[in-house]
Amino acid sequence: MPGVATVESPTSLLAQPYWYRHLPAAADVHQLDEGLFAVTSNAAVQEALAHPSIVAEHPLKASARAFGPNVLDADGPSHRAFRALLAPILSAGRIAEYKQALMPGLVHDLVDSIAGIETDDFYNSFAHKVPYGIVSTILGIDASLEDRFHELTRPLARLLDYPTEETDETHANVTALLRMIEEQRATKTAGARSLLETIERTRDLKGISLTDSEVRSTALLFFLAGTETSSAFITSLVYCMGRGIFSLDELRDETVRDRYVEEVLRLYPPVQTIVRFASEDLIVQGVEVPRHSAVLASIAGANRDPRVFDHPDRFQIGRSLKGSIPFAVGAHACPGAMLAKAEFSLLIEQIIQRCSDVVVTRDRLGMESQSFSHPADFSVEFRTR
Amino acid sequence: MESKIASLRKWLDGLHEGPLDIQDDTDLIQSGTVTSLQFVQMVIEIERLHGQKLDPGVINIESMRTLRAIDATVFQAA
Repeated sequence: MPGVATVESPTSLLAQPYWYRHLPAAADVHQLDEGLFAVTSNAAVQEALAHPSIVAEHPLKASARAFGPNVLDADGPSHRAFRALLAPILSAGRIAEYKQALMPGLVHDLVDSIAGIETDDFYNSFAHKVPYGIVSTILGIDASLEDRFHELTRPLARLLDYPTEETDETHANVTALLRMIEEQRATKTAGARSLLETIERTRDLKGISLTDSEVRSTALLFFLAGTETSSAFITSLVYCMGRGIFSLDELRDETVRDRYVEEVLRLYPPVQTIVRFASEDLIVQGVEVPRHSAVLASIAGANRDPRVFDHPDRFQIGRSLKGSIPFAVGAHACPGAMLAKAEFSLLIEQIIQRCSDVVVTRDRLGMESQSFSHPADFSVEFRTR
Repeated sequence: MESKIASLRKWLDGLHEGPLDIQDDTDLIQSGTVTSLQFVQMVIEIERLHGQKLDPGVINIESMRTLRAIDATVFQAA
Protein backbone atom coordinates (compact mmCIF):
# COMPACT_ATOMS: atom_id res chain seq x y z
CA MET A 1 0.00 0.00 0.00
CA PRO A 2 1.23 3.51 -0.69
CA GLY A 3 2.11 5.66 2.25
CA VAL A 4 -0.54 8.13 3.35
CA ALA A 5 0.46 11.66 2.52
CA THR A 6 0.14 14.55 4.89
CA VAL A 7 -2.90 16.79 5.06
CA GLU A 8 -0.95 19.43 3.16
CA SER A 9 -1.87 20.05 -0.46
CA PRO A 10 0.69 18.66 -2.92
CA THR A 11 1.52 22.20 -4.01
CA SER A 12 2.45 23.41 -0.54
CA LEU A 13 4.20 20.14 0.29
CA LEU A 14 6.37 20.22 -2.83
CA ALA A 15 7.25 23.87 -2.31
CA GLN A 16 9.32 22.82 0.68
CA PRO A 17 12.97 22.02 -0.08
CA TYR A 18 12.99 18.84 2.00
CA TRP A 19 9.43 17.80 1.17
CA TYR A 20 10.20 14.08 1.41
CA ARG A 21 10.72 14.50 5.17
CA HIS A 22 7.03 15.29 5.59
CA LEU A 23 5.96 11.91 4.22
CA PRO A 24 5.80 8.68 6.24
CA ALA A 25 9.37 7.41 6.55
CA ALA A 26 8.31 3.77 6.51
CA ALA A 27 6.87 3.97 2.98
CA ASP A 28 8.87 4.08 -0.25
CA VAL A 29 6.10 5.30 -2.53
CA HIS A 30 3.44 7.85 -1.60
CA GLN A 31 0.27 8.81 -3.39
CA LEU A 32 -0.04 12.58 -2.99
CA ASP A 33 -3.17 12.94 -5.10
CA GLU A 34 -4.95 11.26 -7.97
CA GLY A 35 -2.31 10.68 -10.63
CA LEU A 36 0.49 12.05 -8.46
CA PHE A 37 3.02 9.77 -6.76
CA ALA A 38 6.23 10.52 -4.90
CA VAL A 39 9.04 8.02 -4.51
CA THR A 40 11.44 8.82 -1.72
CA SER A 41 13.51 5.81 -0.68
CA ASN A 42 16.81 5.05 -2.37
CA ALA A 43 15.57 1.74 -3.78
CA ALA A 44 12.31 3.20 -5.07
CA VAL A 45 13.99 6.20 -6.69
CA GLN A 46 16.55 4.00 -8.43
CA GLU A 47 13.80 1.64 -9.59
CA ALA A 48 11.63 4.48 -10.87
CA LEU A 49 14.43 6.23 -12.75
CA ALA A 50 15.53 3.03 -14.46
CA HIS A 51 11.99 1.72 -15.11
CA PRO A 52 11.41 1.32 -18.86
CA SER A 53 7.77 2.37 -18.56
CA ILE A 54 8.40 5.44 -16.43
CA VAL A 55 9.24 8.00 -19.06
CA ALA A 56 10.46 11.57 -19.27
CA GLU A 57 8.25 12.57 -22.16
CA HIS A 58 4.94 14.26 -21.56
CA PRO A 59 3.80 16.73 -24.19
CA LEU A 60 2.01 18.91 -21.65
CA LYS A 61 5.14 19.47 -19.54
CA ALA A 62 6.24 23.10 -19.44
CA SER A 63 9.72 22.28 -20.74
CA ALA A 64 8.32 20.24 -23.64
CA ARG A 65 5.96 23.05 -24.57
CA ALA A 66 8.62 25.72 -24.17
CA PHE A 67 11.54 24.03 -25.88
CA GLY A 68 9.82 21.58 -28.23
CA PRO A 69 11.34 18.10 -28.65
CA ASN A 70 14.52 18.06 -26.59
CA VAL A 71 17.00 15.85 -24.76
CA LEU A 72 15.35 16.19 -21.34
CA ASP A 73 11.86 15.29 -22.49
CA ALA A 74 12.58 12.51 -24.98
CA ASP A 75 12.83 8.76 -24.49
CA GLY A 76 14.10 5.76 -26.44
CA PRO A 77 15.75 6.24 -29.85
CA SER A 78 14.92 9.93 -29.95
CA HIS A 79 16.61 10.46 -26.59
CA ARG A 80 19.66 8.47 -27.68
CA ALA A 81 19.92 10.64 -30.80
CA PHE A 82 19.94 13.80 -28.69
CA ARG A 83 22.57 12.33 -26.36
CA ALA A 84 24.75 11.35 -29.32
CA LEU A 85 24.88 15.02 -30.29
CA LEU A 86 26.38 15.94 -26.93
CA ALA A 87 28.76 13.00 -26.59
CA PRO A 88 31.75 14.44 -28.53
CA ILE A 89 31.69 17.59 -26.40
CA LEU A 90 31.72 15.65 -23.13
CA SER A 91 34.32 12.97 -23.92
CA ALA A 92 37.13 12.32 -21.41
CA GLY A 93 39.70 13.74 -23.84
CA ARG A 94 37.76 16.94 -24.34
CA ILE A 95 37.24 17.36 -20.57
CA ALA A 96 41.00 16.98 -20.04
CA GLU A 97 41.50 19.80 -22.55
CA TYR A 98 38.96 22.03 -20.80
CA LYS A 99 40.69 21.32 -17.48
CA GLN A 100 44.03 22.30 -18.94
CA ALA A 101 43.18 25.26 -21.14
CA LEU A 102 39.75 26.64 -20.33
CA MET A 103 38.96 26.20 -16.64
CA PRO A 104 42.10 27.54 -14.88
CA GLY A 105 41.69 31.10 -16.14
CA LEU A 106 38.00 31.25 -15.30
CA VAL A 107 38.51 29.75 -11.85
CA HIS A 108 41.46 32.07 -11.19
CA ASP A 109 39.36 35.12 -12.06
CA LEU A 110 36.57 33.99 -9.75
CA VAL A 111 38.90 33.28 -6.84
CA ASP A 112 40.59 36.60 -7.44
CA SER A 113 37.24 38.35 -7.09
CA ILE A 114 36.21 36.59 -3.85
CA ALA A 115 39.52 36.39 -1.96
CA GLY A 116 39.41 38.72 1.02
CA ILE A 117 35.74 39.65 0.76
CA GLU A 118 32.51 38.85 2.57
CA THR A 119 29.34 38.49 0.52
CA ASP A 120 25.72 37.89 1.41
CA ASP A 121 24.75 36.87 -2.11
CA PHE A 122 27.37 34.44 -3.35
CA TYR A 123 24.88 32.62 -5.59
CA ASN A 124 23.77 35.63 -7.61
CA SER A 125 27.03 37.55 -7.61
CA PHE A 126 29.70 34.88 -8.06
CA ALA A 127 28.55 31.27 -8.38
CA HIS A 128 27.59 31.54 -12.05
CA LYS A 129 30.84 33.01 -13.33
CA VAL A 130 32.81 29.80 -13.90
CA PRO A 131 29.93 27.66 -15.23
CA TYR A 132 28.76 30.40 -17.60
CA GLY A 133 32.31 30.95 -18.83
CA ILE A 134 32.82 27.24 -19.47
CA VAL A 135 29.47 26.54 -21.08
CA SER A 136 29.51 29.70 -23.21
CA THR A 137 32.91 28.73 -24.58
CA ILE A 138 31.85 25.13 -25.20
CA LEU A 139 28.65 26.24 -26.84
CA GLY A 140 30.52 28.74 -28.98
CA ILE A 141 28.67 31.90 -28.13
CA ASP A 142 30.34 35.26 -28.09
CA ALA A 143 31.80 36.07 -24.65
CA SER A 144 30.22 39.50 -24.79
CA LEU A 145 26.79 37.85 -24.67
CA GLU A 146 27.46 35.90 -21.46
CA ASP A 147 25.79 38.39 -19.14
CA ARG A 148 22.75 38.60 -21.38
CA PHE A 149 22.50 34.79 -21.46
CA HIS A 150 22.77 34.72 -17.67
CA GLU A 151 20.00 37.28 -17.28
CA LEU A 152 17.71 35.36 -19.63
CA THR A 153 18.40 31.78 -18.55
CA ARG A 154 18.20 32.09 -14.78
CA PRO A 155 14.37 32.47 -14.64
CA LEU A 156 14.05 29.43 -16.91
CA ALA A 157 15.13 27.13 -14.09
CA ARG A 158 11.54 27.42 -12.85
CA LEU A 159 10.31 25.82 -16.06
CA LEU A 160 12.01 22.62 -14.96
CA ASP A 161 10.55 22.75 -11.46
CA TYR A 162 7.56 20.69 -10.45
CA PRO A 163 5.16 22.34 -9.77
CA THR A 164 6.25 24.54 -12.64
CA GLU A 165 6.44 28.29 -12.52
CA GLU A 166 5.56 29.42 -16.01
CA THR A 167 5.18 33.10 -16.77
CA ASP A 168 5.16 35.51 -19.69
CA GLU A 169 8.78 36.23 -18.77
CA THR A 170 9.86 32.59 -19.17
CA HIS A 171 8.14 32.36 -22.55
CA ALA A 172 9.73 35.60 -23.73
CA ASN A 173 13.16 34.53 -22.48
CA VAL A 174 13.03 31.20 -24.30
CA THR A 175 12.12 32.99 -27.53
CA ALA A 176 14.93 35.54 -27.06
CA LEU A 177 17.53 32.88 -26.26
CA LEU A 178 16.60 30.67 -29.20
CA ARG A 179 16.86 33.72 -31.45
CA MET A 180 20.31 34.58 -30.04
CA ILE A 181 21.49 31.01 -30.53
CA GLU A 182 20.23 31.04 -34.10
CA GLU A 183 22.04 34.32 -34.74
CA GLN A 184 25.26 32.84 -33.33
CA ARG A 185 24.81 29.73 -35.42
CA ALA A 186 24.23 31.78 -38.58
CA THR A 187 27.43 33.78 -38.13
CA LYS A 188 29.45 30.52 -38.23
CA THR A 189 32.02 32.12 -35.92
CA ALA A 190 31.65 29.55 -33.16
CA GLY A 191 34.56 27.43 -34.36
CA ALA A 192 34.64 23.81 -35.49
CA ARG A 193 34.98 22.47 -31.94
CA SER A 194 32.06 24.39 -30.46
CA LEU A 195 28.88 22.65 -29.43
CA LEU A 196 26.85 24.38 -32.12
CA GLU A 197 29.19 23.22 -34.87
CA THR A 198 29.70 19.78 -33.32
CA ILE A 199 25.97 19.18 -33.04
CA GLU A 200 25.50 19.97 -36.71
CA ARG A 201 28.48 17.85 -37.76
CA THR A 202 27.40 14.88 -35.60
CA ARG A 203 23.87 15.12 -36.89
CA ASP A 204 25.06 15.00 -40.49
CA LEU A 205 27.70 12.34 -39.82
CA LYS A 206 25.36 9.96 -38.01
CA GLY A 207 22.33 10.74 -40.10
CA ILE A 208 20.39 11.82 -37.02
CA SER A 209 17.08 13.27 -38.03
CA LEU A 210 16.66 16.50 -36.11
CA THR A 211 15.30 19.79 -37.29
CA ASP A 212 17.25 23.03 -36.90
CA SER A 213 14.81 24.04 -34.20
CA GLU A 214 15.51 20.83 -32.25
CA VAL A 215 19.24 21.53 -32.55
CA ARG A 216 18.74 25.01 -31.11
CA SER A 217 16.60 23.64 -28.26
CA THR A 218 19.25 21.04 -27.46
CA ALA A 219 21.90 23.77 -27.33
CA LEU A 220 19.73 25.91 -25.05
CA LEU A 221 18.99 23.07 -22.67
CA PHE A 222 22.67 22.14 -22.57
CA PHE A 223 23.33 25.73 -21.64
CA LEU A 224 20.62 25.83 -18.97
CA ALA A 225 21.49 22.47 -17.43
CA GLY A 226 25.24 23.05 -17.58
CA THR A 227 25.17 26.47 -16.00
CA GLU A 228 22.36 26.45 -13.46
CA THR A 229 23.15 23.06 -11.91
CA SER A 230 26.80 24.01 -11.47
CA SER A 231 26.00 27.50 -10.16
CA ALA A 232 23.73 25.93 -7.56
CA PHE A 233 26.23 23.27 -6.61
CA ILE A 234 29.19 25.67 -6.35
CA THR A 235 27.06 27.60 -3.85
CA SER A 236 26.60 24.37 -1.86
CA LEU A 237 30.33 23.63 -2.03
CA VAL A 238 31.26 27.02 -0.65
CA TYR A 239 28.52 26.81 1.98
CA CYS A 240 29.86 23.48 3.21
CA MET A 241 33.43 24.82 3.24
CA GLY A 242 32.18 27.68 5.40
CA ARG A 243 30.21 25.48 7.77
CA GLY A 244 32.70 22.63 8.01
CA ILE A 245 34.70 21.94 11.14
CA PHE A 246 37.88 20.96 9.38
CA SER A 247 41.02 22.63 8.13
CA LEU A 248 40.89 23.69 4.50
CA ASP A 249 44.42 22.34 4.21
CA GLU A 250 42.97 18.83 4.31
CA LEU A 251 41.51 19.51 0.89
CA ARG A 252 44.96 19.87 -0.67
CA ASP A 253 44.99 16.10 -0.99
CA GLU A 254 43.23 15.28 -4.26
CA THR A 255 41.64 12.11 -2.87
CA VAL A 256 40.22 13.98 0.12
CA ARG A 257 39.05 16.76 -2.20
CA ASP A 258 37.20 14.30 -4.44
CA ARG A 259 35.56 12.67 -1.43
CA TYR A 260 34.58 16.09 -0.16
CA VAL A 261 32.90 16.92 -3.48
CA GLU A 262 31.09 13.57 -3.47
CA GLU A 263 29.79 14.09 0.05
CA VAL A 264 28.51 17.57 -0.78
CA LEU A 265 26.88 16.09 -3.89
CA ARG A 266 25.16 13.49 -1.71
CA LEU A 267 23.82 16.07 0.72
CA TYR A 268 23.08 18.86 -1.77
CA PRO A 269 22.32 17.37 -5.17
CA PRO A 270 21.56 20.39 -7.36
CA VAL A 271 18.54 18.63 -8.84
CA GLN A 272 16.53 17.42 -5.86
CA THR A 273 13.36 16.25 -7.58
CA ILE A 274 12.88 14.66 -10.98
CA VAL A 275 9.46 14.29 -12.57
CA ARG A 276 8.60 11.30 -14.75
CA PHE A 277 5.36 9.79 -16.05
CA ALA A 278 3.91 6.28 -16.02
CA SER A 279 3.34 5.27 -19.64
CA GLU A 280 1.27 2.26 -18.55
CA ASP A 281 -0.13 0.74 -15.36
CA LEU A 282 2.88 -0.41 -13.35
CA ILE A 283 4.22 -1.25 -9.92
CA VAL A 284 7.04 0.45 -8.01
CA GLN A 285 8.21 -1.25 -4.81
CA GLY A 286 4.91 -3.08 -4.66
CA VAL A 287 2.74 0.02 -5.11
CA GLU A 288 0.40 0.26 -8.11
CA VAL A 289 0.91 3.38 -10.19
CA PRO A 290 -1.81 3.93 -12.83
CA ARG A 291 -0.84 4.99 -16.34
CA HIS A 292 -0.55 8.75 -17.03
CA SER A 293 0.43 9.38 -13.39
CA ALA A 294 3.26 11.79 -12.58
CA VAL A 295 6.03 10.13 -10.58
CA LEU A 296 8.19 12.49 -8.53
CA ALA A 297 11.56 10.92 -7.76
CA SER A 298 13.26 12.56 -4.78
CA ILE A 299 17.01 12.49 -5.35
CA ALA A 300 17.36 14.37 -2.06
CA GLY A 301 15.41 11.65 -0.26
CA ALA A 302 17.36 8.85 -1.93
CA ASN A 303 20.66 10.45 -0.94
CA ARG A 304 19.61 10.75 2.69
CA ASP A 305 17.93 7.37 3.03
CA PRO A 306 18.87 6.02 6.50
CA ARG A 307 18.63 2.47 5.15
CA VAL A 308 21.58 3.24 2.88
CA PHE A 309 23.54 5.91 4.74
CA ASP A 310 24.24 5.89 8.49
CA HIS A 311 23.40 9.26 10.04
CA PRO A 312 22.32 10.47 6.59
CA ASP A 313 22.10 14.17 7.51
CA ARG A 314 25.61 14.22 8.88
CA PHE A 315 28.40 15.64 6.72
CA GLN A 316 31.02 12.93 6.76
CA ILE A 317 33.89 12.89 4.28
CA GLY A 318 35.09 9.41 3.43
CA ARG A 319 31.86 7.51 4.03
CA SER A 320 30.81 4.86 1.52
CA LEU A 321 28.91 6.60 -1.22
CA LYS A 322 27.43 3.49 -2.76
CA GLY A 323 23.85 4.45 -3.49
CA SER A 324 24.51 8.19 -3.78
CA ILE A 325 22.89 9.33 -7.03
CA PRO A 326 23.35 13.10 -7.35
CA PHE A 327 23.45 12.88 -11.15
CA ALA A 328 20.45 10.47 -11.27
CA VAL A 329 20.59 7.02 -12.84
CA GLY A 330 19.23 5.37 -15.95
CA ALA A 331 19.09 6.66 -19.49
CA HIS A 332 18.68 10.26 -18.36
CA ALA A 333 21.62 10.35 -15.94
CA CYS A 334 23.51 13.65 -16.29
CA PRO A 335 25.96 13.43 -19.20
CA GLY A 336 27.99 16.35 -17.82
CA ALA A 337 28.91 14.74 -14.47
CA MET A 338 32.63 14.34 -15.24
CA LEU A 339 32.90 17.86 -16.59
CA ALA A 340 31.19 19.23 -13.50
CA LYS A 341 33.40 17.30 -11.08
CA ALA A 342 36.55 18.52 -12.84
CA GLU A 343 35.28 22.09 -12.48
CA PHE A 344 34.46 21.68 -8.78
CA SER A 345 37.78 20.09 -7.88
CA LEU A 346 39.75 22.83 -9.60
CA LEU A 347 37.71 25.50 -7.88
CA ILE A 348 38.39 24.07 -4.41
CA GLU A 349 42.08 23.69 -5.23
CA GLN A 350 42.38 27.37 -6.09
CA ILE A 351 40.26 28.58 -3.18
CA ILE A 352 42.49 26.81 -0.67
CA GLN A 353 45.60 28.18 -2.30
CA ARG A 354 44.38 31.72 -1.74
CA CYS A 355 42.27 31.38 1.40
CA SER A 356 43.13 30.19 4.87
CA ASP A 357 39.50 30.09 5.95
CA VAL A 358 36.07 30.17 4.39
CA VAL A 359 33.58 31.14 7.07
CA VAL A 360 29.80 31.30 6.95
CA THR A 361 29.22 34.43 9.04
CA ARG A 362 25.41 34.51 8.85
CA ASP A 363 23.10 31.61 8.16
CA ARG A 364 19.31 31.64 8.00
CA LEU A 365 19.38 27.97 6.91
CA GLY A 366 17.42 28.71 3.72
CA MET A 367 17.22 26.41 0.72
CA GLU A 368 16.27 27.67 -2.70
CA SER A 369 14.38 25.95 -5.49
CA GLN A 370 13.71 22.34 -6.35
CA SER A 371 15.17 22.05 -9.83
CA PHE A 372 18.44 23.77 -9.06
CA SER A 373 18.71 23.64 -5.34
CA HIS A 374 21.24 25.39 -3.13
CA PRO A 375 21.61 26.92 0.33
CA ALA A 376 20.29 30.47 0.43
CA ASP A 377 20.23 33.48 2.71
CA PHE A 378 23.71 33.14 4.15
CA SER A 379 26.84 35.29 4.20
CA VAL A 380 30.28 33.91 3.60
CA GLU A 381 33.73 35.38 4.11
CA PHE A 382 36.83 34.27 2.20
CA ARG A 383 39.81 35.06 4.44
CA THR A 384 43.13 35.24 2.63
CA ARG A 385 46.34 33.59 3.72
CA MET B 1 -27.43 12.65 -20.59
CA GLU B 2 -24.68 15.19 -20.21
CA SER B 3 -22.12 15.22 -23.01
CA LYS B 4 -18.59 14.15 -22.26
CA ILE B 5 -17.23 17.62 -22.98
CA ALA B 6 -19.81 19.15 -20.61
CA SER B 7 -18.69 16.69 -17.94
CA LEU B 8 -15.08 17.64 -18.52
CA ARG B 9 -15.98 21.32 -18.26
CA LYS B 10 -17.68 20.62 -14.92
CA TRP B 11 -14.60 18.69 -13.73
CA LEU B 12 -12.36 21.63 -14.65
CA ASP B 13 -14.71 23.99 -12.80
CA GLY B 14 -14.33 21.78 -9.76
CA LEU B 15 -10.59 22.42 -9.67
CA HIS B 16 -11.22 26.02 -8.68
CA GLU B 17 -13.02 27.64 -5.80
CA GLY B 18 -14.36 30.59 -7.77
CA PRO B 19 -16.34 30.54 -11.03
CA LEU B 20 -14.30 29.99 -14.18
CA ASP B 21 -14.82 31.37 -17.64
CA ILE B 22 -13.60 28.56 -19.86
CA GLN B 23 -14.37 29.20 -23.50
CA ASP B 24 -14.20 26.43 -26.08
CA ASP B 25 -10.93 27.92 -27.33
CA THR B 26 -9.34 28.83 -23.96
CA ASP B 27 -5.79 27.47 -23.72
CA LEU B 28 -6.23 25.29 -20.65
CA ILE B 29 -2.63 25.34 -19.45
CA GLN B 30 -1.59 28.81 -20.59
CA SER B 31 -4.67 30.29 -18.88
CA GLY B 32 -3.87 28.53 -15.60
CA THR B 33 -7.09 26.51 -15.72
CA VAL B 34 -4.95 23.40 -15.32
CA THR B 35 -1.66 23.57 -13.43
CA SER B 36 1.43 21.45 -13.91
CA LEU B 37 0.19 19.29 -11.04
CA GLN B 38 -3.24 18.86 -12.62
CA PHE B 39 -2.61 18.13 -16.28
CA VAL B 40 -2.01 14.44 -15.61
CA GLN B 41 -5.30 14.36 -13.70
CA MET B 42 -7.00 15.98 -16.68
CA VAL B 43 -5.65 13.28 -18.99
CA ILE B 44 -6.86 10.60 -16.55
CA GLU B 45 -10.29 12.26 -16.40
CA ILE B 46 -10.50 12.52 -20.20
CA GLU B 47 -9.69 8.82 -20.46
CA ARG B 48 -12.31 7.98 -17.82
CA LEU B 49 -14.98 9.98 -19.65
CA HIS B 50 -13.90 8.54 -22.98
CA GLY B 51 -14.39 5.07 -21.58
CA GLN B 52 -11.38 3.54 -23.24
CA LYS B 53 -7.61 3.75 -23.21
CA LEU B 54 -6.28 6.80 -25.01
CA ASP B 55 -3.88 6.16 -27.82
CA PRO B 56 -0.56 7.78 -26.67
CA GLY B 57 -0.41 9.69 -29.95
CA VAL B 58 -3.66 11.43 -29.09
CA ILE B 59 -2.09 13.09 -26.06
CA ASN B 60 -0.21 15.99 -27.54
CA ILE B 61 -0.04 19.72 -27.06
CA GLU B 62 -2.54 20.59 -29.77
CA SER B 63 -5.14 17.93 -29.00
CA MET B 64 -5.15 18.83 -25.30
CA ARG B 65 -4.86 22.61 -25.69
CA THR B 66 -8.58 23.54 -25.60
CA LEU B 67 -11.95 21.97 -24.88
CA ARG B 68 -12.77 22.21 -28.59
CA ALA B 69 -9.60 20.31 -29.51
CA ILE B 70 -10.22 17.63 -26.86
CA ASP B 71 -13.79 17.16 -28.07
CA ALA B 72 -12.73 16.87 -31.71
CA THR B 73 -9.69 14.61 -31.29
CA VAL B 74 -10.89 12.42 -28.44
CA PHE B 75 -14.64 12.39 -27.79
CA GLN B 76 -15.95 12.94 -31.32
CA ALA B 77 -13.23 10.88 -32.97
CA ALA B 78 -14.28 7.70 -31.18
